[in-house]
Parts: sequence; structure tokens; C-alpha cells
Amino acid sequence: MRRLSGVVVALGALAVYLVLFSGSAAGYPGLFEDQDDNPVQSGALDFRDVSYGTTITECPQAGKIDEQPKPLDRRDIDQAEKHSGGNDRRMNQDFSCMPQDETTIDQNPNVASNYVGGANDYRLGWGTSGFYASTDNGTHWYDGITPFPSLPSGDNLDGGGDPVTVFDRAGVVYYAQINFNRTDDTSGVWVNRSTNGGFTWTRPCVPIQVAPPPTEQSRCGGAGDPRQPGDGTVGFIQDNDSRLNGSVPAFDKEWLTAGPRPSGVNPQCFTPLAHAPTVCASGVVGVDRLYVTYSLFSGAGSAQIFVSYSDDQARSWSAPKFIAGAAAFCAAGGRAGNECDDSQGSEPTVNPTTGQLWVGFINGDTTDEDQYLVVTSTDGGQTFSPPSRVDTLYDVNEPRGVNGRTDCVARGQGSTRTDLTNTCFRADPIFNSIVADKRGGAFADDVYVVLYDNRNGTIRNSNNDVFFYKSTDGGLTWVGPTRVNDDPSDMPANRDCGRNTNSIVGNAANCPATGTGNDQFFPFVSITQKGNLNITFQDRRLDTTSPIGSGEWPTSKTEVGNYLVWYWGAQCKITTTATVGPTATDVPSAASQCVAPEAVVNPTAATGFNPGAGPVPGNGQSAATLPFRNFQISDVGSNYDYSFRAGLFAGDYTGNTGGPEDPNGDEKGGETTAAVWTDARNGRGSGGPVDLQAGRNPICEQSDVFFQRYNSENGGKGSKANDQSLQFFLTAPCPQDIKDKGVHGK
Amino acid sequence: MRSILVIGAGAAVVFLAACGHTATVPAKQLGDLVLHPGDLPAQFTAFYVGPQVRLDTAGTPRANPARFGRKGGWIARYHRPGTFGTRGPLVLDSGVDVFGDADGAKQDLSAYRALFAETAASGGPGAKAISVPRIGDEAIGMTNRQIGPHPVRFFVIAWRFRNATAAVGANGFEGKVTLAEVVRLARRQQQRLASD
Repeated sequence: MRRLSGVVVALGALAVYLVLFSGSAAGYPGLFEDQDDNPVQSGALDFRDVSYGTTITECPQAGKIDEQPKPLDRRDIDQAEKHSGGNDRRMNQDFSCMPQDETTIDQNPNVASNYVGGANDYRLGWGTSGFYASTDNGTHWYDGITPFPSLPSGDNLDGGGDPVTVFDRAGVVYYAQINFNRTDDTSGVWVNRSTNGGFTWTRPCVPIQVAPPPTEQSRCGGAGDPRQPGDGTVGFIQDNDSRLNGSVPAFDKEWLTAGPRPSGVNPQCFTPLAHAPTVCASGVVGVDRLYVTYSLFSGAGSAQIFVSYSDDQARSWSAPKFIAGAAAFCAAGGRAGNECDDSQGSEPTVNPTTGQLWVGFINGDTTDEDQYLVVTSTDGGQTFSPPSRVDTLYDVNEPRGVNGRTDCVARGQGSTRTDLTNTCFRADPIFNSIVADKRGGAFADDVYVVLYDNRNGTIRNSNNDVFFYKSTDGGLTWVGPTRVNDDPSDMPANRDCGRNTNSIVGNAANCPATGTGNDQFFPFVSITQKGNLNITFQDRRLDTTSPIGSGEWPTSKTEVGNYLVWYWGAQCKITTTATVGPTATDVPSAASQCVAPEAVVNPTAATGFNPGAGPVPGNGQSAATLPFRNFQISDVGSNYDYSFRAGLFAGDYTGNTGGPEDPNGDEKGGETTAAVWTDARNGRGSGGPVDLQAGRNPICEQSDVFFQRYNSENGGKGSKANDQSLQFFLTAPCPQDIKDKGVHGK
Repeated sequence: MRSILVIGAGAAVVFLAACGHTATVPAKQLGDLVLHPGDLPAQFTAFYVGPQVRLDTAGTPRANPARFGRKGGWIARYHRPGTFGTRGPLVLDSGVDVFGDADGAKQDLSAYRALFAETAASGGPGAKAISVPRIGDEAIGMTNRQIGPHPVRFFVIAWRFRNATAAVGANGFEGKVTLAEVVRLARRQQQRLASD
């Protein structure tokens, strides 16, 4: 009896233990399964979050495997693959056959061979933020998905996109992105941090408040989670009704830059919840201030542009500040105080000698065409100038479903999206590009913008061109446009044909059939320490002969040529400067480098805010006198009908970065530029039969991130491929045959 | 024993027949309410099958996913290879939206009607509403012609059945695709709605 009592006590203690630490004793049916051979409950019960983040990045066992194993390859190499030669490097290393698109890159200022890129990456089956790191000048790449931010609910926010990678001057690299749910309105902006050249990344944390306000006691995960509450969280809004219905504001299109704090501006850290100023902990202040700008869609504007900054390497962020400002040229939007609240696609840039910050963005508070605006701050983002107007952005006359491209709507594209002739991928000029000169002295207030639009096309025949603008007075006065792409681009007789004033709705049947040129789009601009401007963009000039009524989507391919896409570059060097102020009428010779003869001071002064049918600045520029030298970067053509989801999305931007070949070399050393772009050369058709390949992904459409590196001043020697034939990429079906070939190449 | 089985089978027939005439289209198994590959010629392959997304209705009178008490929607898109000489449609889409009651579906069909009118007004002489045979409880249609060296012809038929709306769209090159082909596809999809 006494013995029995001991057993009862022991069992009772065990039951108490289970209740305390497992929720209930009945919740652990597998405890005695060895005796009765019951099935063991597993799955979700056994999963536990590891909330330690990835702040320890130098484990002894990391990266010891020098050679990747190769999967069994059961494909035939098809014609497109046989003709995809050249020296472009693919950055994503996955075998998933899922797309990557929307590309970004930066170079380590202290280790020139270290590049880190980013892209939307669908390898998991949905959109996430992929990273790609190289320490040998892009010859080899390591890749993965950035850690998802943790939420107060204990869950992860696993939808990602809009990637931006930026190094600070100490060689710490940051990855900015939006994360969101696909089934409700929860979203935010986060920044991951890597101290080992982009191979491992911190996991951002939305703080969990553990004491009632006004205290800001908070934590990230469970006990032992070493992360700093709020680390990497720029902004976050939890949905209020668990439905995807726009019930709370939504974050979109963030961008990141890094630069020195202006003279007199001290480092400032912030609390995790209220983002109130607080003292910085020792050892966390970075060499640079990080600036993140983003769009916030809400009832207050669609959308407003905000900035937050961080001095402690993305660990804490200032409260959001509305920066788009107000101006008479935003009055048509009807917002209180003429605020420029209908904005998108913001990008910040900093002069590394003064810390002056500029932010460029598009705005639609206009009577007709959109506009590109720039604001600036000289006090580290505390205050901003009113916006200056760089130029009209002529995108109302882009071809869209609502003005004639019904074929794209049938394929699933939104009826208001821009559809370039013959294709249906989203091509809206949302993201343009701005960069501050890297030099001090007379160049310290020089800043450059590139944008693209359809001023040389119509709603029937798109002819988007890339245009360059420069300001030498701190962003107040703009000189341009200068057409960057040097292929033939004629002025349309009536660029407004078939469309209605201040409306994207129209009828392409009212436009003549004549095409006026080829599309260039998704441009990005960088500048080196020596003043080498490098602009890169997608380009369709090499396809002039692909036939109509052919390919994967015959009813979308209705015009000859203008179909396949290559990546191109353009170079020009600025060695002199002079101030061009708002009252200037001419451009002095010292400020005329990289400026077309037809460019003017303040180009929109000539056209007003409703430019009409034309001509407008940027029409009719002679290719013979354009200052940018153009060259082909990608080796072969790319069929965007094979990009994400039946050719509907290939990202919204591309990227490049430039720097010295040797950071420790003298000023006579060379400079290199590296470009990254979305490339669908490895995409194939979704056509069937789809059931012949066991285990094949449901789609063959995919695009990859490709990389090329060249001299910043005299680079770009064209394609390295032996064969530039178009036909292999016009139609490339998904492989059907299965042949057991063993390990590829063996 | 045999008679019991016969009675049982008869009861099952009565029961299934009763299910076939329920007053509402259920918002479950939405994928069964759109055209399947087996409903189409073998050359067609699906390039998207799944829930409708915002992009499918953005910028239209049907843009609000919660409109008129909507419970959910599905869409299947198909295409086939071809040239401007290929007979029949080259791209097809088949969609369905299920609402809480018939009134919601009626309002959604009115939104379709407004969308068709908008398109006809801005789409030029090739775009117009067309009369279509009765499908479901009420049906409307439109056609459009996209210009080019080889013009593209579009047909869309939208209809209501009880508390659901459905639509079939098709395009092919001018002279190669007919309304009758699209009507056949719409009727095939209606069979799916009615049998659920």
C-alpha cells in the first residue's frame, strides 16, 4: 500500500509537470506510446520557433563545403539553352524553376570584390526577398531568402518584395524590403543587416509590448531571444479585420540609402514602440545614417511619401515623417494645402561629402500627365524643402487594357497597367532613379535623375525612352531632358491620339499604325567617384523582325518586332560643373557635359501642366548628337512572355553600382560598374502536355537575376555570345522528354 | 435484400435530384464552377487557375472584392498555341463569383452591364453589346475588336444563375473565332453551376 502510494504520488507529480509545461497531460498522448504502439503525434506539435535571429554570423562550421552537389538532370538541353552562351553570370543558384525579378545590387566600398544583390524570389512558391552574395567579383554566388520579420502574434510575415541592398561606408550591408500578408492587410517595411558581406542576415523584430504604456518595455520572442526589440522595423501596421480589403494603410515601394550625418547632426537612437528619441547604446552607432523612404496607401493619399532614418545600423528608426510637401503644381489633386499626396516610387540619395539628402518620386496630383518631383534635406532628414518639379512624366498615353490592350486583360493583367506593344508584363514607370554626385566642392550640390516614359509613342505603339536630367544647384533647377538611348526614336504626329484628356481611357483605333521607335524601360543610374555616369535599362531595339501572330501568345503579338528584351548600358562622364540657377536660360559649357543640345533649363516651363498633343521637350532629339555611349550588356535576348505568371510581371526596376576596382588604390586606379537585371532566357512556355514530367513544377515560366561587370568609363563591349539569333527565344516550350541522364555533366 | 438495395438507390436518386435544385450555389468548391481542361479541346492548357485576385477586376465597377455580399470567386485561364490562321479561340478565361443571395448576383450582373457599356463607349466601332442566348437566369454579352495588321476579336458572355455570376471570355484572330463557340463554352460552364 505504501509502495502504491509512492507510485500515485509520482504519477501525480508527473501529471502536474505535464499540465504546467505542456498545457495538459492529455495533450501528450505519445508519452507512453512505446508500450501500446500507438501512432506518435507529430507535425505542428513538434515545431518550435527559433527566435534567436541570425546575429551570430561567423560560426566555425559555416561555409566549409566548397562545391555544390548537382541534382539529377532528366532534361534534354533545348535549342534556347544551347544558344544561351556568353559571359553573363546568373546570381540565383536555386533549382526550383521559380522566378526571380526586380533586381538591386551594391558593392562593398572596402572590399571591391564583394557584391550583394537582391530580388523578388519565388523559390518557395510565393514571393519573398532573395539575397545573392559574391566575394569574387560576381564569378560565384551564394544565395538564399532573407529571414522573415517576427510579429507580436508570434508568427512570421512571409510575403516579401521590393528589395534594395545598400552598403554603408564601414562595409555593413543592409537589405530593405516590404513584407506583407496575402490574405489580409498586414504590412510593413523592414531592414535586415549583414556584417559578413551578405551571407547571413539579421531577423527583424516587431516588438511585443510587455508592460502597459507609457513604458516601452518590450521583447522580440520568448525568453533568451537576444534581438533588440524593434530591430529592423521601419514601419508596421497590423490588419484590423483579417481581410484583404484595404481597411488599414498599406506600405509599398520603399527604398534605402546610406550616407554621413551632415555637419552638426549627432547620432540619435529611438525607442522601439513610439519611436521617441533616446540615448544610443554603446557600440551600435554606425558610420552612416540610413534613410528609408516609402509609400503609404491610405485615405489620406494614394500614396503619401514618408522617411525614417536610423543611426544605429537599422536597430531603431525615427518616427515617420511626411516629406512630399506641397506646391502649386500639386493643386489639381485637390488635397488640403496643395499637398503632393498622390505619389509613388520614392528613392533617396545622399552626397557622401556633405550628407545632403535628396528624395525623388513620381506624383499624380496633376491636370493631365504625371510629374517627377524632388525634395531635399540638409539636416539629416529633420526638415525638407518644398518639392521641385524635374519634368512632366508622360505616361498617361501608355498602352493599357482600358485603351485597347484587351488581350492583356484576358491574360490576367490589370486593365489600368501599362502594356508595351506585343507584350503584357507590367511596365508602368513607377520607379525611376536618382543619384547624388559622389564628389565634394563644386559637385557637392549636383544630383542626377533618369526616368522613362512614352512621350515618343502612343497608346497604339509604345516607344518608351530613357531621359536624363541634371541639377547643379541642389535640386532646385533642372536641365533636360537628354535622351539616353541612342536608337532611332521619332516624334509621333500626335502623342495624345485616341486618348482623353486627363484620362488613361481611350481608343487605340484612333491612332495611326506607324511605330516611332523601340522601348527602353526600368532604368537605373549610378555615378562613380571620378564622375562616370552609368545608366542601365531594358531595351528592345535589337528585335525588329520577329513576326506577328506567333509565339506563346499570338493575339498579343500583333506588330512586327519590338518583342524580345536585352539589357543595355549607357555611359557619359562629368568632369566639370557650374551652377545653373532658376533664372538661367542657357546652360554654360561647364555644366553641359552629358546634356543633349536640345535640352533646356526647367523643361516643363515650356509646356505647363497640361502639355497637350506635342511637341514636347524630348521629342525629336537627334541620335547623332546624344552624349551617352550605348552598348549591349546581356548576351542574348530574353522573352518576357516567359516571366512570372504567363508573362505578366518582370519586376518594376533593375540596378547597377559602380566603384573603384581597388578601394585602397590611388586615384589613377580603374573603376568598375556591375549591372543586374531580370532575364527570362531560362523561361519556357507553360504549354502542355504538363503531365509527362513527374514532379515538374506547375509552370515553366521563370526569370532569373543576371549579373555583368564592366569598366565604368570604357566598358560594355557587347555580347559575348556566338549566336544572336532571335528565333530560339521567340518560342521555347517547356521540356517534355524525360531521359535519365544522371548527374548533369557527368 | 435486393429490394432494399433498389429502394436505397432510388432514395439516393431522389436525394441527389433534390441537391441539384437547391436554391443557392454554394461558395465551396469554387474550382468546380469554372471550365476544366476536360471541357476544352486538348490543345488548351491552363496558365492560371485559382481564386480571383485584385488584378482581375482592378479599375472596373466590379473592383471591390466584398461587393454585394460576395462570398468568393474563382477564375481559370487557358490558352493554346497558334497563328493568325488558327481557327477558334486562342485565349480563354472562365470566372465565377458567388454571393450571399440572388440579389447580390443581380447587382453584380448590373456591374458587368456597366462595364460592358463603358468598354463599348470607349472602345470604338468594334466594341458593342451583343445579344446572347439565354444562359442561366439572365445573360449579357459584348464583343470587341483590337486593331492591328491582323485584328483580334473578343467575345465576353456574363450571366447570372441564382446567387452566382459567371463569365466566359475568349479571343482569337478576326474571322477565326465565333460567338457560337463562346456560347457553347458558357453553356458547358453553366452545366457545372447547375449540377453543383
